[in-house]
Amino acid sequence: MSPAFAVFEPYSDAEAVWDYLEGRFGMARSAFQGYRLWQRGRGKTVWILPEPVEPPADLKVEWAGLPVMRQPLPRGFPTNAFLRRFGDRATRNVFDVDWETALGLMYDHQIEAEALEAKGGPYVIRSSVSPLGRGWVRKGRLLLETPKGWAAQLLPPAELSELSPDSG
Amino acid sequence: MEHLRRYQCLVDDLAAFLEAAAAPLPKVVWANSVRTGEDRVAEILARRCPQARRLPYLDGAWRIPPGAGRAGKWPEFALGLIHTQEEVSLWPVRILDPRPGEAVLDLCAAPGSKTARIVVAMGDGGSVLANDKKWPRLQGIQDIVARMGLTSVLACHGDGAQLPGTARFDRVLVDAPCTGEGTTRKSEGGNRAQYRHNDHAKMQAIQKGLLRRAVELVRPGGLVVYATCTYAPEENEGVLDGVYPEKAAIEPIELPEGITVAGGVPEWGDQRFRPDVTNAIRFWPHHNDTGGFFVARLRRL
Repeated sequence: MSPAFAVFEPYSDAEAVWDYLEGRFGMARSAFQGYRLWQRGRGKTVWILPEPVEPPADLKVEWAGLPVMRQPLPRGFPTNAFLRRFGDRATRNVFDVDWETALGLMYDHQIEAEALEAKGGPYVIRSSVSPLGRGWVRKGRLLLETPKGWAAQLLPPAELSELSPDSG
Repeated sequence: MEHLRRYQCLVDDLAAFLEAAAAPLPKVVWANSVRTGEDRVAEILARRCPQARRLPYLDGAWRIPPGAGRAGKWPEFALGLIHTQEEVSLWPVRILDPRPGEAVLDLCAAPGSKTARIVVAMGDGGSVLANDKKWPRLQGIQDIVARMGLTSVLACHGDGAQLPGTARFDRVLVDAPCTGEGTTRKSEGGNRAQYRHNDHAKMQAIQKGLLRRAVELVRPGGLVVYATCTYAPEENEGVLDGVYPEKAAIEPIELPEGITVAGGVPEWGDQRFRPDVTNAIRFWPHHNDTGGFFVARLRRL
């Protein structure tokens, strides 16, 4: 008897996602050895879980692992959470910025930049401290996608030692 | 704090206990070692909060004095490189001691900080099933997990006492809902500022159901850690007493030098408990400058 709820199953189009990550960001398939992609029922989100974990079929699992994409390809693109975790594996379409620029992006969302290729995005934005997440180039500005209200949840810039006028 | 005087016969120094229970609480910052190194976090702390002090007995954790730092607003927090928590809340996971590759159940997982700590202790390798009775609270767990970039959490919601399934977990954490007497040091008097004296019996019934189910869901030889943030023996030793001794043994807990705890009490009022409840531990706020907590480790037989 099939369960009365949607269960997680291995994502049927996983190869297309791996190919996309390799083509767009140069993330080698081998960099994801030990991971598997999953989908819940007919849901659109693609999830990544470490092997050999399998979501149990006798429990209604609401979510599993980290969301890779909220939409299937070709419309889908990697989530911020995925790129913050795995963005250090990217070798293409990456903006590497210094920490001060990274803070500028976190507080103001955008800096001036030229697109690395005609499509204009998405990009991985990385700093020396950590990948920051997903970026887009629009009208000569590099935009960092941040959750709603993110900047307001951060310490005021004047209270950060790096940005304080007194700091060396 | 008047309601805490009922523990006069349990605590070694009532005046010190009451004074500590009303004092502001230090916080802990811990490193998300899945995403960054402890050395890097040490550098961040040196810059942002020089008063932070490394806690040698808790992996990658630093204590921050009350009012200092506001680490939850740092950019590194937003990026998921660090997390903040109350120090005493780190002990249940340390005592659970999860290992890479294991299957772990966090039966009452919201708000999710202990879930995240379990995953990081396992190096994000293995699986952690995070369950909570309240569906909206699963979103809070996902916020933490996504911010920290952790891949090995699965979430479900339901009454933990009725969670379906077989004995398939290596370890289970039961961070049970409780009257929260040990949280008085948190801002605004903690999560149970309005104490209701008849809550203990009501909570005990819920807690017993959760612990019994946890014991059923762990494989023979596996571990269950039962924890509450309350002092009441009704919600602690009284709950452990509801597990048949032939199903699970309460094990002694080894603690590092410098950590002071009290053992579980063998009796309270007119009730005598199973003898091995004395292996459980109770954190009083004046001993280690923490909140109050109770932790027991049970081995499934």
